[in-house]
Amino acid sequence: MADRPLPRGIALAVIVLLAAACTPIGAATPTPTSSTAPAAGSSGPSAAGSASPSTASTTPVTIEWYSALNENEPYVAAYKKIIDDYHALHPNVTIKVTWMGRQLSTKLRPLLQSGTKPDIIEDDLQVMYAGLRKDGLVADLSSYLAQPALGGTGSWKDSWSSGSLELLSTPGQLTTLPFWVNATQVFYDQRVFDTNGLSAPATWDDLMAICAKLKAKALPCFGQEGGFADYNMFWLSELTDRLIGPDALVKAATDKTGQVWLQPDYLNAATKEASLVANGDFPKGFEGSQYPAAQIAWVNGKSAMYLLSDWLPSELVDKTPAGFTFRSFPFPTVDGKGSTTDIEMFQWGFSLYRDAPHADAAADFMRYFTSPDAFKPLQTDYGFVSGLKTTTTPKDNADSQSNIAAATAVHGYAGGLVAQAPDYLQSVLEPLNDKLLFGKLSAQDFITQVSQKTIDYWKSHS
Amino acid sequence: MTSRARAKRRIVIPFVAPALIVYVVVLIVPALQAFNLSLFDWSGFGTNARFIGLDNFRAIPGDEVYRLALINNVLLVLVGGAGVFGFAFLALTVFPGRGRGRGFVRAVVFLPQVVPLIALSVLWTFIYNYDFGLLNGLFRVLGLESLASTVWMGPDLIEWAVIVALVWTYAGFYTILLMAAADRLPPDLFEAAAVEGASRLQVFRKITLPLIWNVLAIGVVLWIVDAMNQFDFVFAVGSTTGQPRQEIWTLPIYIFQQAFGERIPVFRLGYATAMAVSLVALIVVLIVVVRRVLRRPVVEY
Repeated sequence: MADRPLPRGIALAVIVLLAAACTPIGAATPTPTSSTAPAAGSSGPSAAGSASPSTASTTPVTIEWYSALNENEPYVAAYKKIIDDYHALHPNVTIKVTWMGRQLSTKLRPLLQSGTKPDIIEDDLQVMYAGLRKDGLVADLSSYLAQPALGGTGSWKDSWSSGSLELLSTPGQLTTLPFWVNATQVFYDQRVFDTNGLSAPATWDDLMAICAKLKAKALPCFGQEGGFADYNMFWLSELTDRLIGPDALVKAATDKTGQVWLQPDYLNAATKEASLVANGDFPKGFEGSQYPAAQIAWVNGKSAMYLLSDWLPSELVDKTPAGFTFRSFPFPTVDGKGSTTDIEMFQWGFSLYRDAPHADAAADFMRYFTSPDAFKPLQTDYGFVSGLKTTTTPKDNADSQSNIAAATAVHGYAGGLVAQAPDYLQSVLEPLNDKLLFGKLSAQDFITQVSQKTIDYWKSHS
Repeated sequence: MTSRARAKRRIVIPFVAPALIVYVVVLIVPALQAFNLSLFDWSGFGTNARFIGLDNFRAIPGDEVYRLALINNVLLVLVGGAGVFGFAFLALTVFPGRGRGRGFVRAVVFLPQVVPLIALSVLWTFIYNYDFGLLNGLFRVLGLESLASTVWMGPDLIEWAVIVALVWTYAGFYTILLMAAADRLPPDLFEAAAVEGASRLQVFRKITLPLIWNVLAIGVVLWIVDAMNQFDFVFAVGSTTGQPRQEIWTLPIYIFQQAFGERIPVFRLGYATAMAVSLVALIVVLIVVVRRVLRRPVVEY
């Protein structure tokens, strides 16, 4: 055997590699010592956190910001101007943005496992909720939010509209800064309503009366991207919210007995959703429509209204015919239930990484970013509707901004299911909702099936 | 072992070792890591992975979406395979031996292989579009109004629409593969068959197919791997938003949705990895079975 040293060496190398392959997950990553406090020796806001150049730290700092935007998105130009302006005020602070696109979470996970420590993370806050927040990896910003607002009155926290900061934060903490929000609205072209003598409805019955009137003129009431399950869910989400309450879908989805779905108002909501296709309120072939075909058809007059979140105008900015005037109204009340000031909302914004190396400096930059003067171009030029209290009217989204300003309550998309039970939403509810909306299932069959599949789902996911 | 054999072995090892090490590092080690990961309940973000043994694997049989995705994969293997190899057989029947027109056919059918899959998927979404798609437009021109109002990308037809597009995309590769095998056959066999008055179908059945059987078996194995791992083309044809409708999910798409969830943040990395391990096992079993079923004595010529 002495004449065979090489095979033994190879065998040893292979054994070492195989053993390395089975190292417990995360063993190479230092275990965090704190669950909430900003790291790098920071115990909260400091003088270095001030936006005033005279009080800012003189130590060179590079803030690492991981964004879920792509660098070629139009509003990034405004972002870059904010960054440049901040750097001019704070020459010692460099903002390094990594534009990761919507797959930020996918790309971030291996980076975090390899010990990378970002400062700022910018993403859809539902995604942040279901990922980083659930694992306690975002910092509590409460102490920073107690600082004075820049260019406003009161504290930074007072800059935000009611309920915005809390909606997708860790309970008992403030872990999100939702500077860009998207409220669910029913959009229409003012000219279509003027031509047909219509006005924004306040109730479901009024809305259906409008649809009947438009049907008589052979104009489908709603455009609908049937090939996109998330968009189809807006109907069930809004109907159950108005009839039952904002937590209607979460309550039903998380009831392992499936009994909540059998309550009469869920059937009522399903019946109203099913009536849309039965009444011919969608264009022919809508169930096969692939984004963005239906919304382009809508903006070109192939249908009258469009139920969607208020990012719609920004997506159609270069496809809108001359004379088109974006208007919108909140989803109406249904059978006298619900309130039009209860707004379904997507939130996009910042969180601070729990172990951010430059927590104070990062918080200071975020305070600057969300100050009225810095943020204004994103509203005026790119139509950002904001969770910030603001007097600036966003391009093409004035109605939505005023509806958010008037909101008495806010809730997440699909009542928060994306954040709280995403797999159930994707695997169980959306496929069934598609069938309901397409007229493949009656309302009663939908309720029966969703109740049974809820029981089955939780049996296999307990 | 004689000293001569030992010396020979020592010479072989330095040549084999680098490749072996690379193979172990880039394939075996990650595969074992993946298996290790499949034993945990883990989102992939923090360090709080929870060891749950084989629970992820136990959950698979009760997962309705897994079954649906597996059925779609099987449909791709069987129906798609019938289409892909049916086309290849047709080409071999119509153009036996080294007859004229084979070069042209090869150039035409191979064309989809040189175009990026993502571009082809966009092309097919335009073909299938309800309002302005090529297919409905063609039917409209032909006066076939009932067919012209077909919703190809609707829930009832989308799986079949995807399979047709997939067959169109992949048929060229497998046709070229089998034609290349047929090119190696002695031309006198085909000349003799022609003299004897054999039909093209008889030539294909009695001469071409038996003599290229081994290549066909390899082609079938390659197709199984292609169809079971089908992700990008189906994903892109079925969706412009990163969320294809569930009717067309394959196992790789379901694994992606569970692990990464671009729009719907599921983040079940442990479970997704368990499904990936099960997919590898399924493919291996399928290949072993198919290799056994298609095994034939080698025909000398």
